Amino acid sequence: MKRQRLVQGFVWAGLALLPLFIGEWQVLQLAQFLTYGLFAMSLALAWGRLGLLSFGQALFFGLGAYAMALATMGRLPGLEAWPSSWLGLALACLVPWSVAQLLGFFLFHGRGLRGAYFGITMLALAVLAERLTQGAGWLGGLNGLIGVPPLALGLDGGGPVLFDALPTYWVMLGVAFAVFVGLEALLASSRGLAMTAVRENEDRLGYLGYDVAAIKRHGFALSAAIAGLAGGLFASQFGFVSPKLIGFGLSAEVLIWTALGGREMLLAAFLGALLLSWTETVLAGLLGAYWLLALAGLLVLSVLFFERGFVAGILTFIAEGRRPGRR
Amino acid sequence: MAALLEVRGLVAGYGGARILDGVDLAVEAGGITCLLGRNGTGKTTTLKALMGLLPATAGSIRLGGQELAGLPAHRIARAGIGWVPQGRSIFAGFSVEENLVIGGLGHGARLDDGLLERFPVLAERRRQDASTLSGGEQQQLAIARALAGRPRLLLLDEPTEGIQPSLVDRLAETLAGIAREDGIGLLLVEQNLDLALGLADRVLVMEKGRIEYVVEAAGLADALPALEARLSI
Repeated sequence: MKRQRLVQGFVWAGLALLPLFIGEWQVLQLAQFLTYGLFAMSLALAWGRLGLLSFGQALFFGLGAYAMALATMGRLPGLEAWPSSWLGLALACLVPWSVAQLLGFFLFHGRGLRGAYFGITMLALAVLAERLTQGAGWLGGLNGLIGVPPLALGLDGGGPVLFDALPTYWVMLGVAFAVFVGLEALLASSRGLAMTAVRENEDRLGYLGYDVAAIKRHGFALSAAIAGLAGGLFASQFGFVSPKLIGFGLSAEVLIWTALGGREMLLAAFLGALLLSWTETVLAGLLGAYWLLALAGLLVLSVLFFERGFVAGILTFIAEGRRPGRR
Repeated sequence: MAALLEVRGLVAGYGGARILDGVDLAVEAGGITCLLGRNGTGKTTTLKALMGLLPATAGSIRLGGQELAGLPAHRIARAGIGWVPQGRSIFAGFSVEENLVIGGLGHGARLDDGLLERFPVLAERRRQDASTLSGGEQQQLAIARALAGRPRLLLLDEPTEGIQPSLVDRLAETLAGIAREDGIGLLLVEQNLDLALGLADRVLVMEKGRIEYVVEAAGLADALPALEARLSI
């Protein structure tokens, strides 16, 4: 455990120093991938801990991105004069959180949806959201919303703006690190133990006195809020939101990042997203359409030889000199 | 004195099949009631219905005067019923200690060391992965986990099943201690007639979803031939 913390510390320190050694364009690109990493951590929480295999996690990423875009572009009715980044970030967390709470009531309480049924429902919801977004003029329809402003530090949307590569990168890294530390603390607590126990066997938890549906609902909502935060940060960097951000494609991608990285280890999922996004930019140019084939091959290899993820396997090997066991 | 657990006319089943056909029973605080019967007469179903794992379609379940029929399992657990299922069902991949913390948490109770005094084997192995324990140790863990939630009544489904014979007596002693010293009521389903007779202060025999025969501790010796006749195949 101690060595594991040490390895984690080295990884974060390495990430903090990395931009000093690469070009500005690459730093900006990595800063964007950091939001993907945050997104992958949200799925690792829902899937790796609570056992909620969500095939539609981009629903929450997209909600966060659109909430951010609408708020900072002054398109929220009644709040046009207050295009604050802080308001955008708050909504980017709050809107997905509320949607997940509401979904949780329908999906987990009563008889409750489990396993593949939950996954398929989430998939359908993400596809539905993508279609609805394409048709909504207020949201820019198929074209999306262009011109999302970068993060501004003033409460009213004014003040210094986060635009340069290095500050943007470090702020994104700082947010990811803060979320990582918070989630690790939560998972190490007795509450986190109960969340992991849901994945192992939720029926047992019921007769031990736990309201399993409530644990799932709150965990799912937390995961959604983090995905939304990632989406909001992404939108402010990318400057553009489109229906693609809320649909099936991105949902599948984050699943692959998380599976290849390691769903049961937050840092592994985070690094998985970073590494695969980076590899894609390098290899997609080189391999063209064959990149997808290569990615599929990697996924098959990972499932065969690193059931708990490539990055998780490497991190565990460095820290403990063995392959990862359960949890 | 009113009994800790009072069950009246309990009806439950799976889908359309009615398994329990009006079960009446009572368990006193500190008392040990043993539920016997041939296979398929509804013993496990009775425990599951009491625990809320199976909906009760009629009847009342009162624990210390509080009506529990119709509540979900987690509310029943919080009201004070602990459940030790058949086959132990511990969390593999969790340490012994983590299993116990999980057991206490749902009630807001903290793990106290006094609990482990009764289970020295578990105290020795508190950091060990629970799946590496032997069958008998896992059974102790399942009981300790249920006790961690500080129940007033413990339901045990065949606690001695699959445990090596030399450990069965030790387990019986532990169970007797839990009832006599901690004042917890025990309701156990058991196939082992000798154990049941040695431990229980009341024996119930189930037939076709009802309690058909009740023997109190004082009459156990005289009732033995009748009991054996009812349980033989």
